[in-house]
Amino acid sequence: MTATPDVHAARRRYLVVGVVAPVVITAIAVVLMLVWLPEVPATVATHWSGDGGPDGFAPAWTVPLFTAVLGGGLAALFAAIVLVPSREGEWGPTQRLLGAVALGATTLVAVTLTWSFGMQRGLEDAHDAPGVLLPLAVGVGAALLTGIAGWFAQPNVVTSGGSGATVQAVDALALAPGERAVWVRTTTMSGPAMLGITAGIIALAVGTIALGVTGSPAWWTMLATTLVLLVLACATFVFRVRVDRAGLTVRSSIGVPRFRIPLGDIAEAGVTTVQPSAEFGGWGLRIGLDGRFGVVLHSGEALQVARRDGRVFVVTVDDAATAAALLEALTEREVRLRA
Amino acid sequence: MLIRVDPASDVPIFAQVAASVRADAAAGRLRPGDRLPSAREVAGSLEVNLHTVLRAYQELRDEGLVDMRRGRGAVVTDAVAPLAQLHDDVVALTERARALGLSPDTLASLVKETFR
Repeated sequence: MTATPDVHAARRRYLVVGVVAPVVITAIAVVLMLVWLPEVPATVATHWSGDGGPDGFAPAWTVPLFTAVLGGGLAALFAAIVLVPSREGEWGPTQRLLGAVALGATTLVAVTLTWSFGMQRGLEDAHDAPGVLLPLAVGVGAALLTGIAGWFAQPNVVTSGGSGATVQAVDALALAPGERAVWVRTTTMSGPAMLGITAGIIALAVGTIALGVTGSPAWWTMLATTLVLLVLACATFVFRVRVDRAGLTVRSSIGVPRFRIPLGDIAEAGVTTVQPSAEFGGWGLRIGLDGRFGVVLHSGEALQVARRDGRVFVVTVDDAATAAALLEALTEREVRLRA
Repeated sequence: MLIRVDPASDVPIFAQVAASVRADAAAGRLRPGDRLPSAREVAGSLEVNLHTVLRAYQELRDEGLVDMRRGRGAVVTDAVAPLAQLHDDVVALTERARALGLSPDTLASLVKETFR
C-alpha cells in the first residue's frame, strides 16, 4: 500500500515537530552551555540527591556533549520508530503522540540540563550548587507545554493499511464430543524490529563504555538500563502460543513473561490484522491506544481474544484462524459443561 | 500446528497424532525446518501418555517426515514438500468422493488399489 497525501502531510509535520524542533532546541542548549563553559567550575554538579544538594559531579565539558547526544539520540530514536514503518502507508494517533513526546522529552532534557549548568556560573566549587528542584519543575512545565503544542501542531490522520483493527469471527472447529485437540505455534519478532532493538542496545552499551571511560558517575545507571533492556529484549523476541484445554497460553521462549486466558474467561476469539506501529506504537508487549493488550512481534495475522470482563488480548501469530476456531470450539464445550 | 485425538475412535491414539502432523504438513501449516512441539507438551495438553506421543513421532521419523535430534527435538524435513503439493488434489478428490457418497475407507482402499 502506498502512502496517501494525508499520510505524507502527517509525516512532514512529524518531521518538523518531532525532529527539527527537538534538534533546534538541543542546539540552542548546547550553544548556551559552550558559551558558559569558561564561567563554570571545571567540575560541575550533574546529579542531585533527594534532599536537594548535589551528589554527582562530572567534568564541565561532558555536559554539553551529553546534552547533544541525548537530545539528538531521542529525536533519532523516535523518528526511527515512527517514520521507518510508516512508509507502508499507515498513520495513527500513536505517531502523533510519539511526535509530541519526542518534542516534550527533548525540551525537558534541554531546559533542565541548561538551567542546572547555567546556575553554576561563577561558583568556585560545584558542591555549592543550588538545588535542582526549580530547573526540574520549569523543565517539566515547559515539556508539557511543548508536548501539548506538538500534539496540536500535527494533523489528526488515521489510516490503517488494510483491514486495520477489524476482527473476523471464525466458525468453531468441528470437534467430536470427547475429542481432544491442541494447537501450538512459535511466533518470532520480525527481522527489522529485532535488528532495531539490537542496534539500540549496542548503542547503549557503547554509550555506557564511553561514560565509564570519561569517569562520569552516570555510567552505572546506563549499565543497569542496558542490562534491563537486554533482558527485556531476550524475553520478547520469541513466544510460544498454545491453545488447549487450559485455554490460551502465550509464553516467552525464556519462560517469562507468560500469559494465560482460561477457557472460562473467553467471550470470543477471532482473527485480525495488526499494524504494529500504527496500532500499538511499536513491537513487543504493548498496550494499544484502543486499550487492547498485545504481544506484537510482527505485522499481519493475529489472534484476538475478547475476555468476558471486556479486556482484549492480541498476539501476532500465523495460522491464527485455526487457533481461533479451536478456541471457539473448546470455549463452546466449556460453556455447555458448565450450564 | 493442530493435533487432535478422539479416544472414542477405533484408530490408535498414536496413529491419530501422527495423522494430525501429516495433515498439518499437507495443509502447509508445517514447513521444512519447523520444530514439532515437545512430546511432553503435546502429551500434557491432550491428556495422553508421553510414550504414545513419542511413538507417533517415531513413526513420523520412520517415514522420513521428521528428524529427531538430541537437544533440538523433532524437526520437520524436506520430505513434507510433496505432501503439501498434493494438498489441493486430495481436498478436491475427497470432496468429490463425499458428493458421490463414498465412505473414507472406500476412498482410501480405492486409492491404495490404484497405487499398486
